[in-house]
Amino acid sequence: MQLNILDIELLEVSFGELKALDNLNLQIPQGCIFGLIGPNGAGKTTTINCITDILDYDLGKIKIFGKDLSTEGLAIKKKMGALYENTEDLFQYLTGEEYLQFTGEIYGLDKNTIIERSNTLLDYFELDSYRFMLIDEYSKGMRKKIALASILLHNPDFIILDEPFDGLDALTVVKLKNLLKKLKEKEKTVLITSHILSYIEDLTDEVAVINKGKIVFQSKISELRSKVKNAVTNETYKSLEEIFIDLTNTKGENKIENLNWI
Amino acid sequence: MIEIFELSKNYNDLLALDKLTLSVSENSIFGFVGPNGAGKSTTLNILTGIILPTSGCAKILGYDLIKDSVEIKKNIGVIPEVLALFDGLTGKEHLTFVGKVYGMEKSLLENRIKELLEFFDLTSAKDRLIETYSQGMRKKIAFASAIINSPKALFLDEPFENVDPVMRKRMKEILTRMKNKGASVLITSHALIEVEDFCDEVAIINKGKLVFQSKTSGIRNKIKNEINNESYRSLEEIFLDIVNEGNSQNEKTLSWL
Amino acid sequence: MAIINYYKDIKIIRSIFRLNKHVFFNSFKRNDTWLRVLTIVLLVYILFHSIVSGGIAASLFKSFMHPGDKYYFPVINVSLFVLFVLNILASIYLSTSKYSEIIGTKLLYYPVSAFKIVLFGIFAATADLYNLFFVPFYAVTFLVIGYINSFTSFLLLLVIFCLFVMLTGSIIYLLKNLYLLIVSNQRQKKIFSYAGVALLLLIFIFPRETIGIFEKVRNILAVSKIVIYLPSGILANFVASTTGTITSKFLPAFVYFFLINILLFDLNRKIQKKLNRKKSIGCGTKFNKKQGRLVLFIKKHITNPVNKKDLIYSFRSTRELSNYLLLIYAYTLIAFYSFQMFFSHQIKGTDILYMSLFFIAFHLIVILKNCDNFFGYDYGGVINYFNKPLGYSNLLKYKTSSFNFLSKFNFVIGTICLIILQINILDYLLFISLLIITYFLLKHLGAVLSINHPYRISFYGLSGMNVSFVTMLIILITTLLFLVISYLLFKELSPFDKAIVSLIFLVVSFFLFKLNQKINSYLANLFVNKKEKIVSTCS
Repeated sequence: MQLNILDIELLEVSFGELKALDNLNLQIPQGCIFGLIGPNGAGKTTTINCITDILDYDLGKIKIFGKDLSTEGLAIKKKMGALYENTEDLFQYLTGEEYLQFTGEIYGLDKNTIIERSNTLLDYFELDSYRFMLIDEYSKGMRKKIALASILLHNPDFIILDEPFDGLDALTVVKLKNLLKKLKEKEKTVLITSHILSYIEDLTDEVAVINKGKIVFQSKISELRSKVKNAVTNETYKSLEEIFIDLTNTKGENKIENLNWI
Repeated sequence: MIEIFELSKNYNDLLALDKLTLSVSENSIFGFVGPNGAGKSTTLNILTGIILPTSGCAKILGYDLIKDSVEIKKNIGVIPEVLALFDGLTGKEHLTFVGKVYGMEKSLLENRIKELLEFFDLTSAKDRLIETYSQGMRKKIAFASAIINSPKALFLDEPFENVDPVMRKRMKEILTRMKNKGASVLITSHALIEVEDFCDEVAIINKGKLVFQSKTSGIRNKIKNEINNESYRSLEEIFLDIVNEGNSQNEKTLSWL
Repeated sequence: MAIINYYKDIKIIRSIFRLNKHVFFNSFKRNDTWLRVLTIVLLVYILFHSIVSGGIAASLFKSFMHPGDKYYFPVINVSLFVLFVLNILASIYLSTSKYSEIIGTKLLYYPVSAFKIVLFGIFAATADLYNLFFVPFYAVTFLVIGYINSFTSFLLLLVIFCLFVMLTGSIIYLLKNLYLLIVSNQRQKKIFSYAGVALLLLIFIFPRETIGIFEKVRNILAVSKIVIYLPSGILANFVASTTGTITSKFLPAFVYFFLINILLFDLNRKIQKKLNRKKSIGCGTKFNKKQGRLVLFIKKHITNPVNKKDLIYSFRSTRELSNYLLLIYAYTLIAFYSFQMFFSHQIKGTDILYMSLFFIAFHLIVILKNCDNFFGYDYGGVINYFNKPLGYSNLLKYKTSSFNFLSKFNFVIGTICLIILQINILDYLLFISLLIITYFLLKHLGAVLSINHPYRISFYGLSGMNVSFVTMLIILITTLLFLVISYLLFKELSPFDKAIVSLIFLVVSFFLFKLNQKINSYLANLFVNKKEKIVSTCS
């Protein structure tokens, strides 16, 4: 029996009257590279914030590594790492090197390990010449890279990447792709979101679509093109993009013809 | 029509742009790519009148870059890297401000704002302050501000970043229509797959210099270097070959993973 | 054609004004209603205060001095000069000029010339609240002291005064932009902030000398002769000088203000252009900076990551650093003067104790300010405290450590000073027990405030309020309570009563110490519910 790294049951989160997550259920098996896609405002960020324990949920259960997040949080967090879309979790006024040191120490790594691994990571992400520069002065791509470096330091078993490709230059995109392949070889689990669906199709084993706080579709990538379309046409989908648009595009009125001055 | 001739920018001892020469014709979507720090943002900042070049000249829609900079700004649409949105305004107020500054007439402006808000699914958020918007929403407002004046030249820095697939498709539709009606669109992006798909022409800039330029339609038939004489399979491959100096580390060095 | 362009330009300026107005009013939408009401009440109060105190000061002055007096005009002149300087400093130092700076740089993307940006900026600075607060003060003063005896002279005064206010706005805008220009270069920023702190320290070390300059009566005449050429002097001359009527002085004053305004406008435009260009240097700043020895020392000897990060931050933030330096110098100053007075037998030890209560209260302000907002500088980094295996009780422990340190420091210094001043044992006991209780109360109050009311503070720069409204209120109340209670205790109680009260305090402190654990876990639990608020406020 395969263990589910992530097991979310009936998760509910509301912001005032707005229900961001509505009885969300999501299971991610171990060793899988899992893609989570959805339109803006569907609940992706909310879900990730709940999983990483920076947002409280109203109802439901989150289990990671089989442990309950609300009671065994510390043990879970030791083996997890997350990259946020805006890299807002970086300490602006530390240098790149200091931030890595901070992260390493919080994860309980010893001094020499931190130094060794930081140096390797700074080299790998080509940030070595910026190691003494304040993160405040980093460009967007550099921030993404230092954030990526910081989540690899402690060798987590479960990695969350929220829009990792946005802002990365093409060279680093290739690096990231290769890194994902390596993580897969080592049987780590990765949850990745991206708006560039071609990346998702290329890199993930399984994908789920979230819309309006619920998972509305889930499938292995290999089975994607054999899923049947709706009863009306009985045709199979030609791409992930088609499935996405079909499931999430509710308003028919947003026609470009409305903007007749363009 | 965007014409750039030997544009250079010097920051004390750093040469950010080195005699860049380029032109974007009408009815064209031009992709401008390069690694971080190559000079993409500098170029865009110079063309949109934010910084002055050290030497060289440019003509945008026939206006001289330096002498007629205010005229240029009246006729172009820009999405800068930093979005330059007024966080203290609501979405609707921001679009109204933009329209007024471009000298648009009141009722026309109101109509267009209404249509744009509907098209981008922002009607429910129009009276909320922009600082409460998500990144995707901010991008949409920035995009709407850039096109509200039906400009004939557009300078878009990573326009599709943070935008979900459906909205991406819609934005591309708009840009295609504008291009068909004669606009020149200059886009920067890191998603090479997308650039190859969507743009008519692409240029690669590295270390301030233009190192490659081609129409995207024939790109997969470009011959590789003498070593294996195979044609490139994608823009990404060309990019890696040109830009990569071979000093990149392998994931094997991350031995503890 | 030209007229149509001119009309369009006016429309743009109008839109910019509307932008500013929207931004300003929208900033009220965000806050809680009661805060909004409180702010409006405060504004009205200050306006009222300005008018009343202006009126009173002017009338008092008039009752003491006569126009024929040798010092009549010089005093007006110099006072107006001081007011002028205070006006400018208050507007620069206190105003949260968020929108004027941001708008200035964002507007570059739109077809708006530097001329218009500057014009708008000057109006914004002139219309800035802190600047306008002084206006009623001036106005009332003029009406009382000046020779306004006809409607014409009133109109003329109005014209000159408007030009004067605009001039003040231009100077404020100029100085703010100069500051931005200096600060845009890292190296210049460091030099500037250290110079600023050094200047403040000088004033602290030699307060007598600085104030003494004005005390000497002779000097007022000399100063008056110099400042009469400055804007405030010209205005004073126009309003209050006995030579010539208002109508005859109007033309030279008008020409003066008009020319200076044009000059300042041009200067502002040049600086704005420079700022616009400077803004864009994003990449290419210094790469391999050498590590400061102090930072290396911290990294070597502090083991826990949160404290390490907080300390590194304190040394990098010009604001934090200046806070600490002020604290140290306050101690030094107090000690220096009180010892001097004690050893020269001017006062008794107990009197110093009473005086020192004021300074202890001052320390409370500083200390409370340091512990009421743990997450002020962290911004989005707060997320690290929750999504990494840190634990809430550890977080609390680490974040209160600087407060603990400062309190212990305060305690030790206080003890040493009181021993030197030969305070008797009972007074000392009372003092110590008071401090201990205050320590526990403040620590927990600070933690509650940090968790329930987190807010961002800007890392660099000295201007702008870096204390929230709520905190300011609490600080005022706490300090007042401390002063009143401690004064009463020391003055009114008999030695026996003092012993009893000390004992009670010590027992209470003991219980608070025992309860520490429980309180800490309660506070730690607060994090669970409040982390959302902390994350959203700070990032």
